[in-house]
Amino acid sequence: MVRTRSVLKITLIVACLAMSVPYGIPVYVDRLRLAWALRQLSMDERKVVLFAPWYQEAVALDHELPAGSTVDFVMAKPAARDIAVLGGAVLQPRDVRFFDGWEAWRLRRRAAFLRDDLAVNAASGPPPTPAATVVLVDAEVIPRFRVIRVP
Amino acid sequence: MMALLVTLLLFVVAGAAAASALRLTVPGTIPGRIGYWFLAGISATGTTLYFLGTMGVPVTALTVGALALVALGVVMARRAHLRHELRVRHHWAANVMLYVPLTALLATAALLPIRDYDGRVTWLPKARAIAHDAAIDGPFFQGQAGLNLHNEYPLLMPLNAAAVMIAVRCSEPEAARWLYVLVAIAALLAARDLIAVSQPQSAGWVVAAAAWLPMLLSIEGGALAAYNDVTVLALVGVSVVSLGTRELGGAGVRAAALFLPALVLCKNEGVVLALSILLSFAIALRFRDIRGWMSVLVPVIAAVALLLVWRGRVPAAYDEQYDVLIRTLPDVVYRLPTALKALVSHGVDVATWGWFWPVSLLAALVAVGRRRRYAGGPILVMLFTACAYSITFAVTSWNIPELAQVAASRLLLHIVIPACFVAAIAGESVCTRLACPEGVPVPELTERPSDKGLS
Repeated sequence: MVRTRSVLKITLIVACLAMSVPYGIPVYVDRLRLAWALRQLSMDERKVVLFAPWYQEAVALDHELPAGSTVDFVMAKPAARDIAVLGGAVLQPRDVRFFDGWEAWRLRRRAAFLRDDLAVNAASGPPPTPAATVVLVDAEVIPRFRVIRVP
Repeated sequence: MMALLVTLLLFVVAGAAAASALRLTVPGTIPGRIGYWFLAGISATGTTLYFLGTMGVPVTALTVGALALVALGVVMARRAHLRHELRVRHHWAANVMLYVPLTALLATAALLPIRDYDGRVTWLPKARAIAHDAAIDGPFFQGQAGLNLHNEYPLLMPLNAAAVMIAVRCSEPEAARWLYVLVAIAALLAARDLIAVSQPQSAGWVVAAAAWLPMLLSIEGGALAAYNDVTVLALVGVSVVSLGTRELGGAGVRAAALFLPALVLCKNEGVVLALSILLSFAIALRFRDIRGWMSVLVPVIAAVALLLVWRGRVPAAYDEQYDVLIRTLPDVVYRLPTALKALVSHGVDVATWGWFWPVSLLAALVAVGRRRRYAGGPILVMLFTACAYSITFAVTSWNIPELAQVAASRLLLHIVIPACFVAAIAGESVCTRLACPEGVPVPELTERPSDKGLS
């Protein structure tokens, strides 16, 4: 009887662990392997490897632009939206504004990133004043973030 | 390394102060106790900073330093009250099975940056803005300095992250990196000890199994992300186990009164979860002890009021309109089966969850079949949450399978610890049956009459 109880208890424990451990091990190994492979790089270099090369250009822009300046991101194509938003976060706490193309920029009409009929979408408020720096963002052209001299 | 030390010290001391001030009964093992204090610390610090920020007090180094000093003072003054009377022990093999993934998580976090999309573009920019502007309604939240996606999302974790950034004088995302990882580790350690109070044989194994869930390492929403879903998991978990463990008595109710308001201030889902937890335990306990129930409900309502006052000061931007969504419900009832199906199909995705949810369902059936009174509360929490999330999927204007693809597993993560609690109860009931076959009375656990709580 005692032996049966022990066997049943061990079976329960094994069943409990079997529900996740075999599926978790490959994921843990994968993450550890990736972390180990990147261990000798600096954090910025790791980000370039993990995020893609746009990150390096965004960091370069962050170093180039004066702190506290205002920046207009003009997204050349819809494909540039993702790197524009992620790049804008790198430039924080600067005031980065986003425009869908030059026409929207000229009209000072901010880009709307999400369009949900049942939600509040883009921020309300007056159109932004012209920024100190204008950056053309294009995911398909290098450099992806290009400072434009506006006359 | 500095950020790790500051994060640990700041929140553990704050949590110890909150636990001693509220006379909470904390876990007896050192890892469990530190984990519990850490969770109490993020709840107390975040809620206090939210309140101060809404009152117009700047979130500066002075404010954070003053809070830390007050916490230290409380700990020193009340060190005799730092009770840790929950004597629990775990099998050494269960310890190994838990500590291996937690160590791997720490090692990974030390080397890999935060890389989830929403963490980088939604949550961390809020923390950096608070650290920079020293306010929760400053230029960033007024739409005057950068892109603030989901402007009205609750700020508990951005405030905690900003406190760390201010303390280490660095507003890079790496400063807040440890906060999110330590919440996951603290949640598992604290939940394991709390569950073990009533389910001593099975708690260690069930929580160890949960630590291996592939979802815990998911880039979007896992423990290595800044998405805050793991914080919701932690706060839901300690609240449910505290309310559902009758050995904790009044201390369990007071714990819920600390953790549930923090849950409300953590994510939009927090209000729904807090109310579903309160409703579940009210039903499970057949509306007995209304006084204890009210002592949790009042802080929850206060947290909702605080959130509404703050939201009144910042414009909505890319935010859900819940009144509009709820009004559409009668028109979208036909979408509910699709929504439920989407949620279930992600729950049984073995690559993300293993067999965790089917086993949890089986455990719930066993617990109900064996009439385990502990199980009523957590089972109802899971049921109400699944219903609430299915309704959420149904009322949005998104395509349900597409929305479920990015959200279902993150939402299921919120109720992992209640599921662990139920699995532990079922496991324990089977073990008890083995130890005490039919005809032999099962020993009843004693109750402390002087400190009776919700459960």
